Amino acid sequence: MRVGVEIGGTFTDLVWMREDGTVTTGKVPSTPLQVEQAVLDAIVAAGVPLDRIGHFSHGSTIATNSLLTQCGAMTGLLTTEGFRDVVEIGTHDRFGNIYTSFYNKPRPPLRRRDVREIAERVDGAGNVLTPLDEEQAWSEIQALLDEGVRSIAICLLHSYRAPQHERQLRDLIRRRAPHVDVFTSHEVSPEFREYERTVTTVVNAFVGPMVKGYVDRLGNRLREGGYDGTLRIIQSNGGIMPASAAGENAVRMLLSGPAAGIRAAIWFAQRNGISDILTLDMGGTSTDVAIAKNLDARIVPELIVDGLPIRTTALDMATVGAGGGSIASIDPGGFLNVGPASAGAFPGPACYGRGGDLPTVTDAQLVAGLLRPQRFFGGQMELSMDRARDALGKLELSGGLEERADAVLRMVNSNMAAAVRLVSTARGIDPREFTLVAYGGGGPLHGAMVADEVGMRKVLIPWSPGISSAFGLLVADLIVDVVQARIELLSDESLNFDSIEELKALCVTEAEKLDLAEGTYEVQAGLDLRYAGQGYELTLWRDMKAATAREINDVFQTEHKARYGYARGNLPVQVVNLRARIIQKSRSKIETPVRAGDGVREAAVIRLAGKTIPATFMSRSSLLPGQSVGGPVVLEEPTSTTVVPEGWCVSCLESGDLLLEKL
Amino acid sequence: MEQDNTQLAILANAFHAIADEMGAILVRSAFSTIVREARDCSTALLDAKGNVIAQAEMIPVHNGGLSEAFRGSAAQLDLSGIGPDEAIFLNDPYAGGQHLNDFIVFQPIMVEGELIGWAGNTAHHLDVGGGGAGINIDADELIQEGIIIPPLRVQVSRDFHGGPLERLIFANVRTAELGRGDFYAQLAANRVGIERVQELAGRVGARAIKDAMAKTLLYAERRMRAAISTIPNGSWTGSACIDADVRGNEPLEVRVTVTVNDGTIGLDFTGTAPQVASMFNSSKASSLASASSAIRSILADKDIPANDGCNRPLDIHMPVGSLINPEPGRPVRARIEASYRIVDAIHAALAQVIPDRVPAQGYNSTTGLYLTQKREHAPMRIYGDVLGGGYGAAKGYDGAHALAGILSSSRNTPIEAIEQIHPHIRMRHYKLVQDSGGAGEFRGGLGFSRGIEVLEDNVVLSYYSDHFVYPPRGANGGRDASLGSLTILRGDEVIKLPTTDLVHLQKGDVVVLTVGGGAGWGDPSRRAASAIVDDLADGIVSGEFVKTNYPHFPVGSGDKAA
Repeated sequence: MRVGVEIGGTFTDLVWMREDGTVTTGKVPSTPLQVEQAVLDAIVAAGVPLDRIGHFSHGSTIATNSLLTQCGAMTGLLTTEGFRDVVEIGTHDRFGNIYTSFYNKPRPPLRRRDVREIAERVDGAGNVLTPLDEEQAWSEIQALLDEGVRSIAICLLHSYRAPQHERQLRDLIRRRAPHVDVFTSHEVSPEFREYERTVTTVVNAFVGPMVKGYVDRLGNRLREGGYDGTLRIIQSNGGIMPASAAGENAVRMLLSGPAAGIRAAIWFAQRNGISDILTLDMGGTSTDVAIAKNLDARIVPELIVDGLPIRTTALDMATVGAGGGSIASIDPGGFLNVGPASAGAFPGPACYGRGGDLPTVTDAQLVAGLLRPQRFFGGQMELSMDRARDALGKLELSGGLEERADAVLRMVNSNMAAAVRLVSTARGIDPREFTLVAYGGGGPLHGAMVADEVGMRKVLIPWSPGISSAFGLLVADLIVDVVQARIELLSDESLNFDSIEELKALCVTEAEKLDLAEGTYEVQAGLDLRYAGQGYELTLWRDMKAATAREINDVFQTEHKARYGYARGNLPVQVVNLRARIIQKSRSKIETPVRAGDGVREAAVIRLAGKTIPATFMSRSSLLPGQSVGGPVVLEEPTSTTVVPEGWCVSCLESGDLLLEKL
Repeated sequence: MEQDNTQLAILANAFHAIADEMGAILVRSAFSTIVREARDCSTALLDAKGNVIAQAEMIPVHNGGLSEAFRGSAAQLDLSGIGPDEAIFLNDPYAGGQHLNDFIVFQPIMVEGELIGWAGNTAHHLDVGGGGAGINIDADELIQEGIIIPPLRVQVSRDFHGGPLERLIFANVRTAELGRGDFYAQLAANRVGIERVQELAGRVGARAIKDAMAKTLLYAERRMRAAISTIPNGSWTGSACIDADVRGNEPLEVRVTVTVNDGTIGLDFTGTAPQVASMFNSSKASSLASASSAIRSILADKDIPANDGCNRPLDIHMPVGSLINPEPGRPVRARIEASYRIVDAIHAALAQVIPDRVPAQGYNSTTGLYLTQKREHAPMRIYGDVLGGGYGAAKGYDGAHALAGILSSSRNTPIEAIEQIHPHIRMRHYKLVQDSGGAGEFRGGLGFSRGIEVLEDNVVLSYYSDHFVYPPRGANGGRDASLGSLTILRGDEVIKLPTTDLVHLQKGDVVVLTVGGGAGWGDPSRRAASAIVDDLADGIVSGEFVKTNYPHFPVGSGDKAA
């Protein structure tokens, strides 16, 4: 039996797969003050027998929250002499609003006084110019310890190529101050570009001890409850890692929630025989969009969190501030604007009646008639139509309240469509033949409308779309990424037999650390490539097999042409990093329950795409496998609402998932 | 009617997204560090008449500059019957360009044979020929600064992609391979812009797009007027100066009278210093963009879209033959310094009426520094850097440290990348400079210093900067910031150099460039003790500096005050 528990901002979701493959779900309020408590609450509420569970997978916002709320271990940094201010100076550019005279830089959780310089130097080729002096180094470390630093990040110039000084410092600290956590940049992020590497290492040092404490506590409590397996944690690359690796690799957990959802979307698409998908995950404050051609989600090597570049592999997605709580307003030029400001879970949309009085997307859904006040959240939470109407009344737009609500929905659809374009057309991929997999609380409501905006004709609404991220925990593979800086011209030696053996050896070492038995996992090789002279790389993934420069070069030219519209075959190609990825496939067979509903159909008037029209409302479970119905129709279920506009038709597939198709 | 407004807002967002995507493509596929890391480039969508409709958030001094370039081109070219394979190409600062390094390309957006707009972009090319690699500080004619490309109507497939024009231009460039790479990135960016607008037209129709373009301009104008109308009516004068012309020693003043009248602003630069012999003239397009950026930067509404509508409430007069609107033929390579003084002069004037909204002066300069090396039997090496400094403080705001100036937004190149690409140099340090920000109730940001060791012979240093002589000025009782400097350490010798120079270096020399901080805002005696404690602990200020500038703060009692 398997269990997945995902902690979100408001709710903690549980998905439990029994021996026969059937699935039960649960939802309890999150407990921000003692985060792991909600996990145990959810287990108790669902009646999960921990002693009979084989796999326990977990998704948590602990790392993200630790960084965003600046609540982590007091961190110090050791850096090369002369370069104390790599972090303070940063990239020296501005992003966000370039016209402001009052710019504040994104800041990692590190005070300048806790950055110490070490007399040492390595050049760009990896030669030692100034050897490390351990006594000088120790006096700097001692100064950090005296300040109360609990976690030390080490990032020296060119350590991606020559890590010996970082190792020396790490071992020195472990010997003489074993109570302090130490993180080296060549282990956390062995890639060139000192600012990005330093920030990644510092953030890891800041959140790592917090994450480790958390997974240890949770692991203990689960063991007390009888669970004797490995606690597994979801990462931002959509793969699972054993909790024992979480502390050392805490940055890998940043923004992992949406990644689990994408894994679930891929699983649902696969079981319905769909191969090319875009995903639309609409929550309370934002919407995440990703693309997976051939069900292969694109991986990027960097995440931006709070303006900070974090070098860790992540599923490529675009996020827009378009969620149920996104606030609608009129800007000083008289245009309607929706998001990114959000009413969040508290006070939430006006219709929640928790004190919010600004018009939000959820209020617009209600006033447009797409949500029914008594049916929200399976009838467990009544929405206030009056409050929603009052709030929308404050929007200075002409027309009736329903028209204003419709304008808000069009705007938010357009914002989500822009995110779809960002991951498709902006990456050289035509989305029109793709299927949009829509989930999260709001995805099924907007899916068809967003698809219409970008010319897509099919939308898949998975089973229980409101808990897809938790479901993703059950089906995610175990994935561990390894990277090795190279920085050399592409040659037949770049990925020859020896390089492959070296990569494989790295994988074996890593797998041993994680207790993965040989033969239970597969490995892939990757190359970060660019034309010599370019500043950014394209990553190509391939089988763990030797390849000639020519083979690699051909794929690179094609990919570059697809991405940027040109290739320059006569220019030398440079390898920047080699990558390896360990994958242990999740192979369980899962069956989601299909329940027959009450069959009741009711008529109500809705406002959609500029028209006031009668629509049919029914419970989702009333549509049985094999049945179809034409829009406009609204299908209600406890965690979500699916809207099928005019000109669309919805069918219940054999799996129980819904397919919306444009007629 | 409101339904239309929602559709308009959606299209306005779409234009912006397209300009941003063009920018991303340009940066990601470019070759030179100046474009790919420093991001000295801009992308925009223009309407059929050449008004900028949407511009990527990249470099403010290019703001509206593209429409100046378009207007300059349209004045010289017959654009009738333009086809999809054609482009306008230029760099001439006297036809709407900024300086010769900025190559500008416009390509038409055709929908069913009809011209509905233009995709355009500009990118700073590392070298454009001329009398010196990097910069030619002694140029006293434009032609000595590089190849001049007047507005040309060209056939892309015939003239570029190995065609005659491309061959001619890059035969005149020292780093032709990089230049060609950047140029193809420019074409790739335009291609994406054209395709996206065509797709959009496929969805909503060409008419809706043309209508939305016109209304987007009106929209920005409306917001700009609304934001300006929060400033009281009246007239104020302000000024600021750059250190001197090349090898000169007289300050050069930019002077402006700002007149606010019911949502419009008049900017009259009568009284500004006359044009100069060397490269510190500011080209007109650069001057205009700076004036408009100066206004935008202090408006409370920070999200006004950057398009030509924003410039409609501005009435700008720049005397011909002055430092900021020179006569054709004058060199303009270091145009940015006088452009920055336009910003400072406008702020100095407005500080008299809205002191709480105007910052003290930041370092507000771009330091362009080049280390070039001619080699036997090998291409020339050019290391180039464009650096900012500290930001000026304002009410409620301590200035940011070490940041690109507000007309720019250039990213620095990683030290590790520099050392991989340029084996002739090595970085000795890259650090903030203690005490370089001006004191005040809110303090200026710190400047920073770079130490570069020269590892081989035949390396030539050329650079320009500003504020080596006259510091950024404090506001509202805040103190001035420190000066910038450039010194060469040669053995025991310390050689101090002026604001701009060209020097033949020796192997083993260490070039130490220090850019200054930003000035302070408000009386230093009002600075909170806790802020001083933090600045001391973080080494932003020294005990000595605190003693001099914050006498109300008892040094040594830091722990108590915390």
